[in-house]
Amino acid sequence: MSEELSRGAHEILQRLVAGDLDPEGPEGRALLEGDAKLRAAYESLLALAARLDAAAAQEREVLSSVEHQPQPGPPVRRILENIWSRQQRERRVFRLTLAAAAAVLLVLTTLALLHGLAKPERPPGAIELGGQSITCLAPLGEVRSYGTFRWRSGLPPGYTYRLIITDASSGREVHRVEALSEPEWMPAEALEASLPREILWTVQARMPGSEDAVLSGTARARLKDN
Amino acid sequence: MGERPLHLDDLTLSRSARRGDRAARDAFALRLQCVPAMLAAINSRLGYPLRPDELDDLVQDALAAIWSKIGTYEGRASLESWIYPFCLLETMSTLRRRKRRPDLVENLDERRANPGPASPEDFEDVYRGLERLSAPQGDVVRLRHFAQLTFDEMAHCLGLSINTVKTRYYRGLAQLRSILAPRQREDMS
Repeated sequence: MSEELSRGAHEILQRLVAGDLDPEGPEGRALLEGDAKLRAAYESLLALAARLDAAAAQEREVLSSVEHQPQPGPPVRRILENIWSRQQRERRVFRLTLAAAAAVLLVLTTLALLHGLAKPERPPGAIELGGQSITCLAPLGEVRSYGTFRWRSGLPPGYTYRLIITDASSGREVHRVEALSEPEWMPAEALEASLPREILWTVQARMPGSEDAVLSGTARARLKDN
Repeated sequence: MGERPLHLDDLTLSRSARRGDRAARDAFALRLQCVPAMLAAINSRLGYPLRPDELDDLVQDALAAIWSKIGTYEGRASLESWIYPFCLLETMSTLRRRKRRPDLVENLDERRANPGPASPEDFEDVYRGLERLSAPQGDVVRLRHFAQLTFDEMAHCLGLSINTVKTRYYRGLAQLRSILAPRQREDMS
């Protein structure tokens, strides 16, 4: 109804239903007879008002019929008492649950804070190894050739290593080796010859069956000028 | 100008009962003695589709529904008048749930085949529609038709200008009309 009618039509309808415009008067009649849509909308509102009046009349009838009649049925007081005590129990349980949840949250937060303060740099999934990290052994600093890459981690067997070599001047990754089981790696001759003059190399240790880096170590190496 | 409840005593009673005041709860329980009677009257007007034991269950459901919504009672209507829609809608919901029972289905079909004077179920959609109106518009429509107040009286008790009341009334009617329109189309199909 509202999407089809103009604002003016809504104003007329409001005047009609509010009794400010007589539908039988000259103005009201002219407006309703001159606009079929307006008339249909007014009639549907009149019908709705009549239904509301009928519903209200029936409601009053029921209310007055129960007013003077003896009250049948189960004792209302007992049912209400049950509802109230159940509600009280539910509230108590809810409060207890809330308090328990708050306590758990507090404990977890405290633990997380203590853990976070003690080991701020440790990645998720890190294991305690007495503070040991990977120590890069070679190549380090200025070298004649890169040769074999060697490192020490102290990790037990089963851990694997990832070696990442980047160009120190551009930061671009130039080579990567996955799943090394030994703490060393020797590049093929051609690959070694293609490596930049200055590199950063990083070794990451990974837990068996996981992608999470547990420990890592990085070193810089540079080929000597002739 | 602030809005003034028409039934201040009932509002005070409901709020005190809600707070857990013992005396208020006693008085509230007495007032709610009308619920079994209302449900029985509605059941009677519907042609007794519910047996007495089913009616007892319905009393419990209706009282639980009323108590769960008591916080929304604002004293615009008497407590009994505010309770009536709960009784009607709970009855209709119960009937709908039990519609699978053959005897009840037959009764309802029979009723529809031979429509007599208006029955409470004829107005179920009106009450459900009123529930969906926004509070300012729903209040005005209810006060106009159920409390039979004039626009002047509504303006006085709601603390609003008469033009605002008229606008809310018209918008409420128009909104209710559009809420009920799809239902009526469903009923006709």
